Amino acid sequence: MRKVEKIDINKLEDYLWEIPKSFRKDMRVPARILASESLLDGIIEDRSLNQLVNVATLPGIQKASMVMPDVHEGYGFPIGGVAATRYPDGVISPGGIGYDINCGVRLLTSKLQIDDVKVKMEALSKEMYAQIPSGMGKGGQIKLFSDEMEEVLSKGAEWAVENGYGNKEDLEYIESHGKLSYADPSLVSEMAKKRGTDQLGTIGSGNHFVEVDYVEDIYDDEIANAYNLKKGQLVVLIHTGSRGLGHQVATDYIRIMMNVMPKYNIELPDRELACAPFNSEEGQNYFKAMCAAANYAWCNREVISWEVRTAWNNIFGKEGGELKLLYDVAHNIAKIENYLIDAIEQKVIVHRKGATRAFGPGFEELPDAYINAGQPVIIPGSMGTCSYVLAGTTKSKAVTFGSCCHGAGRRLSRRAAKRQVNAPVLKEALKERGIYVEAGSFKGIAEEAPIAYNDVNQVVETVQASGIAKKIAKLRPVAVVKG
Amino acid sequence: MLIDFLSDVLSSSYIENAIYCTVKILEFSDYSIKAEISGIHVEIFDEEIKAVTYHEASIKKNNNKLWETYIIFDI
Repeated sequence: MRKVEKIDINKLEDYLWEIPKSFRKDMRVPARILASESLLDGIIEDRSLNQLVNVATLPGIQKASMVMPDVHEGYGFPIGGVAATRYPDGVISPGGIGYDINCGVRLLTSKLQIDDVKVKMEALSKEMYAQIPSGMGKGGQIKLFSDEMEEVLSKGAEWAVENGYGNKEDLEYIESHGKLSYADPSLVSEMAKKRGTDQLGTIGSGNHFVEVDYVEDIYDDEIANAYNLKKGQLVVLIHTGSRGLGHQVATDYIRIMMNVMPKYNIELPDRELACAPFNSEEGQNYFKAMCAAANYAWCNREVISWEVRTAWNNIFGKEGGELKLLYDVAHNIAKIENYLIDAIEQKVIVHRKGATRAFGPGFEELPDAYINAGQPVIIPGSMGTCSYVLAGTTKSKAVTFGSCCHGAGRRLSRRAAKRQVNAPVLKEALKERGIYVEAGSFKGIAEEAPIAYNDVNQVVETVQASGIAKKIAKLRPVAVVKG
Repeated sequence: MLIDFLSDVLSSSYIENAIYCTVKILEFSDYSIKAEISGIHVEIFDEEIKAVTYHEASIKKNNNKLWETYIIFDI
């Protein structure tokens, strides 16, 4: 199939580009790219736009397949993609959510100022590394019995709170309050449950991390105030997902869907797009299993917060104060949401793979304190650069099915990064800049080196300029724990 | 089927905390494969593989008349 080139792309408005339906005859809708022109020139280099065109062929897809400015090539679906399909007969595709179901981020805020505790940062990073099991194969402190596993899968973050691993106040500050009620644990395979038995409270490897940052800049005083963010304040960013349990759910259902596609007369250009109608038995089973895995991920991030709080307390004692949850948001998930399409309010199944929900002010699920500010959107940068807190806007609902970017976007493959980066040297260089890194392996540091990623600033500037989210605060890392 | 088989081996690796070095195929048909795999227990894995993907998977005979396969792992 022909590679998408710049000549195939029309400019719809500043920061919004379109590959028209006429580009390939199997497209059901156009494909849209939210990006600045310079980011677009980079995006064209890999095959992510051809993947985006493939997504536009999904049965029941609405309006357009879309990618965010941090898009890069994935398996089947591009990472940084959004696809909304018609409810209830459009398809649901496990690949459109990804192997790491409910991979997401949460941000905890503290009352400490970086200038008062700078000398303790190295000790804090070591203590966090001791408290949070990272790397593969190392189990967590919690071993779930089978009835407990059922509860985690049904209740999500609430399970952690009920069992002494979380704070009740946190629940209000989590997307969907940390629990999807459609979850059905009986549709999660035994193999998946076994993989999840001892992984609660673990971050895993890859690009997952726990990071202490300080607020370097505030861009919107009013919203920052609502989010309780102040210049110089220490905050903790947690990035991980549903671990092996989620990977197994995705693997199981991609296999199932591949086998049933002929039954539903679905033909697709890439096997990793495997899907089934949402209202079919297989579609429903996957959705309910995915919700269960998403609940596991929210529980996991709640337990990790408890480990972080333990480390915090061990280092700072009473003076450290309480770590409060600012927000927790998923970036690999499918949700049923309502949108105006062709001037009619319609229900759709929104697939977000490497894209963050970014709802604006007035969204009823938000806690009272944020109702005028909009939903917090947390954008982790790469190790040693910076991260951002944004606020969702009402425009995102009109343009991107209420979605926004999720990070900086990978530029170099892990292998290429390893070739170019000397990890021990990088670790020392970061230390000289006041960033302490603790990792399971040097390899992990090299693969996630800043050089491997796009400039997160450029991605965030694009999002801000396009109006789908607002820049609120910039975070600068001081301590990183990696898998 | 090769990918499904490798997926199961991967799952087993994580459940058993083991890496596998040998495989003995016991039964093989168009739609099923039964095998005995053996390996050693490990404390920790060096690399996390999330999944064995079907993405761009291919299998062909190479110049030495041996079957060669190309499979991408999600890490």
